[in-house]
Amino acid sequence: MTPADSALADAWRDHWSRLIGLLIGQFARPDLAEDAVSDAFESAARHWPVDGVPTNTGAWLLTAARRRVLDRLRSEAVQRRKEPLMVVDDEMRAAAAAAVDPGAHVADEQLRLIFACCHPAIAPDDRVALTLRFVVGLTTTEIGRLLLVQESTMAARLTRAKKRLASSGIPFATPAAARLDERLDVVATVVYLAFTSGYHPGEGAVPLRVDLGDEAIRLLRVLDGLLPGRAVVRALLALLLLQHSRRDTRLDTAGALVLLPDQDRSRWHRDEIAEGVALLESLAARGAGWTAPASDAAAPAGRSAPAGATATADPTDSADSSAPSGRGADPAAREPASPLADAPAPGHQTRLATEYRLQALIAAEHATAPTSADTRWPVIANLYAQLEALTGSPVVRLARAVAVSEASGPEAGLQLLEGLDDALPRHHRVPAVRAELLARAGHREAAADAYRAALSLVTNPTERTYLQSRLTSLGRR
Amino acid sequence: MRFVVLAFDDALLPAGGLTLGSVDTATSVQDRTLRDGAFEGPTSALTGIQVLDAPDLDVVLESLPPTGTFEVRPAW
Repeated sequence: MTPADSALADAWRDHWSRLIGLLIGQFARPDLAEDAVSDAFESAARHWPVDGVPTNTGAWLLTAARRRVLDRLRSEAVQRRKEPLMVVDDEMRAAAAAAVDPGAHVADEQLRLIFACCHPAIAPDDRVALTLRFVVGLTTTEIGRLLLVQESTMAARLTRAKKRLASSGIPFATPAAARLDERLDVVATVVYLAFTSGYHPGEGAVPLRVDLGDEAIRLLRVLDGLLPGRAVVRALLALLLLQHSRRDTRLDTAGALVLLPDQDRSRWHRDEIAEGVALLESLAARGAGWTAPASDAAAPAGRSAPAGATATADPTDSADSSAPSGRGADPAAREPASPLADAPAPGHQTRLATEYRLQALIAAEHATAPTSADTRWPVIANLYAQLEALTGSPVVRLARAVAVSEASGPEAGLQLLEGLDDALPRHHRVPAVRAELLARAGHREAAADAYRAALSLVTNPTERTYLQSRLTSLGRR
Repeated sequence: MRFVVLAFDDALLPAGGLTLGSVDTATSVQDRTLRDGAFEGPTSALTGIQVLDAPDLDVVLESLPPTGTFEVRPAW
């Protein structure tokens, strides 16, 4: 990589969303801002290798992008724009117009940009697409692949969403204090969806210029810095750190999914696990008496949800679901509950914040278990019970059934599966988990029937292969 | 008496008329829940119109009662 290449990559990461934010602040035209910043980067790609990298890359790009916007406005001026512009307050406009060094403004524009892209008047899918485009800086092609939408469809959707952003009266502003919590919940949901869109088991890796996990975490850090102490931001940051810490062990060298019990825990990112656990501690009431297992630096760390938890504790591990480890810890030897989870969190917490916090606590249990066999399943089962009580989600119940079977045996887990087929029809993980638990309980024929039921529903080839091998090995036992 | 004239398909109104933003700029509100786009109710009859000046969409949304179906569009 030449110095110009790496300067471009750095500038893109550091300045993309700030430049967009500054230009929207000044000109109230999200569509022009986006094109202009793209053009400025293209221009930089041509000029920097020849003319050298400017000292202040951000200022260079801002100047170039501004010139583009002004050119476009001049050519549009013939036909005066009648539609209303995005709403930008005068203070913001003045600040954006005065900015020479975009680094000086860092965060305010970014924050406004995030809240605008995640405005509740924008369709949920479009919030994710807009955030990936404007805040993270992905291309339409990349976004289409991530969200499993055809490029032409994605382009049309983004065009419409940008039009909405520009002219439906959505403010380019941080929401009023009274609405901040509910608006932050919307932002958090979008960030989580953006994070999980980076993990599609069986879909093949999407080559991106950025690691979406890193980007989502970086965004949450920005939010936490600007709006400190918000529970939903801290809880989600903890959850994403704990999930992301395992990224290097999820796939083997051939690109196949490696299940949680088989992952090399020495390759999990210990610093991220420690930070996630510390964030959870900061969310819990002081003096709850819970000692974070991760404070033991010698303990290899781990994480992720057990079977069926794809929509809950760990979206990155859907293939784990059909493979409970079968090595549950002795329930009597462990505390049945994490006092950290029971402790009332300080201040106001939205339901979503509590949900993320419980998911993060589950991820932390996995992350801090020295080995898979040391996993504190009774604690995890208890956390899932709380999560199910909060959300009423059948997917959570499925994950809970696995945790309970690890903690208290397969029969207890099987009881929790009752009624789930109706709640999750066409969900292959219900019969897959049932099959695994039946096999463990020694009901071989019923287990085989359940594996066949799961095979009739599964679509993911990796999981199909896995289920087929389980069914075959059942016959050999 | 006072009357309201609704224009369709870009029909030109006499002087003094208001132009509504396109459907893409509309925001539907049903009992405080937002949705993007125009309201698409099968049996809803238009029962009232309000024209107001506000700095942005959020201010308009805050002004609406907690229940009922509304559609908000910019106009000029």
